[in-house]
Amino acid sequence: MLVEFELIERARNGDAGAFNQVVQAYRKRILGTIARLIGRPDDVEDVGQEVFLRLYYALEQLRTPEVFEPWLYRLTVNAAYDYLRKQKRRKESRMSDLSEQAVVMADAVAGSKVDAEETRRTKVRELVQSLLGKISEEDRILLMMKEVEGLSLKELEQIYKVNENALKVRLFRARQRVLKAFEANGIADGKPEV
Amino acid sequence: MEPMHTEDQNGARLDSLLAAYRDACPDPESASVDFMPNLWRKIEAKRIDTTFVFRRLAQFCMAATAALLLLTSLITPRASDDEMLYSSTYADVLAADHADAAYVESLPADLPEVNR
Repeated sequence: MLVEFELIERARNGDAGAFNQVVQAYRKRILGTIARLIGRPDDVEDVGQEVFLRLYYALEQLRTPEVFEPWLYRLTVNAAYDYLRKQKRRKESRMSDLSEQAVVMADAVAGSKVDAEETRRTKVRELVQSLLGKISEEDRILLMMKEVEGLSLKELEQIYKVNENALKVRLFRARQRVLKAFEANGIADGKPEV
Repeated sequence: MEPMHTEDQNGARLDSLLAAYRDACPDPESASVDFMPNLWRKIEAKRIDTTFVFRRLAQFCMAATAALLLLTSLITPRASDDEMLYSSTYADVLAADHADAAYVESLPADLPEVNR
């Protein structure tokens, strides 16, 4: 726990200062998780604010402060899921709406001298995002929470409120799908360098 | 054994790719300075929205109640029109309805008295 139970209790009782402290304590971690889940740096803060907004209005439903962290992760997962669903719907229109100016800007950015390490990171991000785009939003988030965030099955069980065996099956299937996409892209044979 | 071996290798490559992704997306060092003000702005906006919804709901309920009351008063028969119906007994109403039937006159004069 990053904060004392007492602080969560105070925030739950409507203490705005305590709520601010809770947000400050978890902001970095939650924004990091969101960044990895959604893969769009520009929207990370918006989704993060959505998580804390939901937290503010749902805090009184929290039965005990002991389950605060899995509960906050649950809110994070739900907000990321909602975001990804919306993005999926907007995807096509965004592609067709890409203005000439935006294309010129993108070319300029790509052509400018950027740090080699940053270029490599960008490639990794794009590659993983493209692989994860091959599976459903639910599986994508679950897989990321396990493989990237490093949460244990026990923690995932608390977040998803699903038993461990069901989670294992879902994770296995999600991983198989990503592996299939991985092989289909020729990445498994080491073609693209990451 | 070959496909199994390849599968393991691919699995390992995927794991290393995901680990590289974890490194490529570190936790942000700091959020923008507007993060907290914007969050509180959103909290307030939602509070206002919720209040607005409840106010509209209350207005709707009041209007519906008034309409129902009006409708009920229109379809319910007024007491003055049916004073007879509410103040008389069933036998009185029957007698009034059949006042012109003259059952008594139609009965035979030598009808045996059953009560005797």
